[in-house]
Amino acid sequence: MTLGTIIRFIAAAALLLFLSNPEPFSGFFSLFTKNNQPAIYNQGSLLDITLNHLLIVLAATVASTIIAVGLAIIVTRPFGTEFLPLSRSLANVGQTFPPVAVLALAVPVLGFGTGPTLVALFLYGLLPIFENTLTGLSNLPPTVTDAAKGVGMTAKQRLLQVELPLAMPVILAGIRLSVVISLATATIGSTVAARTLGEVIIAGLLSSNTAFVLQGGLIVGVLAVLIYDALSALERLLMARTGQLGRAAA
Amino acid sequence: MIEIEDITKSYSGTVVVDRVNLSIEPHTICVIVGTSGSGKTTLMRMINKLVDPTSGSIKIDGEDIAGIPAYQLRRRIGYAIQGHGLFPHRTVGQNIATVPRLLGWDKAKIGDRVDELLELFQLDAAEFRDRMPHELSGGQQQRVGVARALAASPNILLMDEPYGALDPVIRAKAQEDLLAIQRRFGTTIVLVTHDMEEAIRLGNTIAVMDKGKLLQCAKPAEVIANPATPFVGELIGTSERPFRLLSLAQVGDSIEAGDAVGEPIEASASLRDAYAELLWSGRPALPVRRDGRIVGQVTLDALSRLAARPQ
Repeated sequence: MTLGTIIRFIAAAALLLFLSNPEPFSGFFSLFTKNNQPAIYNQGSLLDITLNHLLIVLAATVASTIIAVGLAIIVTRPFGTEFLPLSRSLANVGQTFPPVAVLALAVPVLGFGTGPTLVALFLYGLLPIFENTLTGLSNLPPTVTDAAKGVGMTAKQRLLQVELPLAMPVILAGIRLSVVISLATATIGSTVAARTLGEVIIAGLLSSNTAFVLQGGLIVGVLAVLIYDALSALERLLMARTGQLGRAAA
Repeated sequence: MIEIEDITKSYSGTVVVDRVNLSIEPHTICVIVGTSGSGKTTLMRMINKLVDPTSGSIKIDGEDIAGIPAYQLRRRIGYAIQGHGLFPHRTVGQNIATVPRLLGWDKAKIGDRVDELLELFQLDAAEFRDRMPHELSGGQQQRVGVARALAASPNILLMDEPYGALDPVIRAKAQEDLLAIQRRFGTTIVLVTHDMEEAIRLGNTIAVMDKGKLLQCAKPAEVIANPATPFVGELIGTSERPFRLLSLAQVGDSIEAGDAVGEPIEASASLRDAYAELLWSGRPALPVRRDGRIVGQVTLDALSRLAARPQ
């Protein structure tokens, strides 16, 4: 077990302990409070808020993945190549549009709550997944795609049995980027009343309670690092299993 | 029987294959030789519809392939390429089982066939079945690639520079194995190469291509003795002609009575090897051994006559 693995394990354990029972940590967080402010967030269960935060990120990422991978598959098929520039600019727009602006524009349509946040995260997550899927599907070893055709696979069989499995590590890298961006971006959803960890940070900012800001920020940060690492490990595993480690390095 | 009739392929005005007519007899090896850009690979890829011809037709056993869906046609034709093209995410066994699985064979039959092919290519089934392609050596990957092409017992096998990436020793062995397999199954093989040596060694007929045109299609001896154009002669190599001619026949075909002395040569060796040995050892004749017994001799005089230009 490497030092990195040990640190990650300790961080995960501390996070779980803190979320299930934050009281023992109040001593540490009271160092950052003034005038007898509460040390631990007291306007709802941190565990519930965290789970809700993760759920919003998960829902948005699943939706982005379905749309982005679907689009990338279509534009890499012979009938879809004309749509490549169009879909590229669509995904780019999603990325350039600031999430705060999406929130502001979505509130009049969808009202306050989780809706606008989901829309912002969905749009923001499209581009990394789309670009990576495109790269993965268009940079397959030519001898392998030639062989897949030559043995008599239909277009669908080639996609499902050869192209997607071989592109999977690269697609997963896109999903990983998207998840990490969404984890951080979801916090601003609390400005339009979505129940995310941003709520804790905003509460701290409004009452000048550094302990709250720190709690919200730490939870989001540790979650992002752990999820990033877990997905990276999964990618490496997939690469090794498909004999592509050399290809990725090259 | 593969009949290629007046076939042309052009890409936006550039003619890659130019009105080629070629018929390939069943159960023979036809080697298409040419430099890169000669159109040889394009010609071969039209046989399994990886490339659609601009005009002309190809018939397999009398049936025009234009009427057969490409994926169905390809499942009937073995396809082996340079750099093997194995699926890196599938085990050796799964790779070999590709076409039988596409054809919907039942599991037990596929398993038996995979093991049979591994043994045929001298790979221990228990050891190699579950390995991943990247764990194999280049020669082993190549053999698995050919095994995959032969999995559903196709009547026709297309091979695109299959031995291009192998070192000379492994290549010679792979060529020998291919000849043995061809004799055993009677598969019609169309093989593309830029190597005239390989063509002479493997081909029952040699088709020479240059700039999209078929220059000559004949038996190796005929191509060596009477090249159709100066370009064909150049591919053969003028200084190589007598030796290429000798390499076509075996010692066993030219045995004379006599009792030469010294280290014998096997009757299955090529006349070229015998000639080299005669020159190297400075002897006028070599004893010939067949099945462990001396059956006669082969002489320098006889070989010199055989190496001369056929009249």
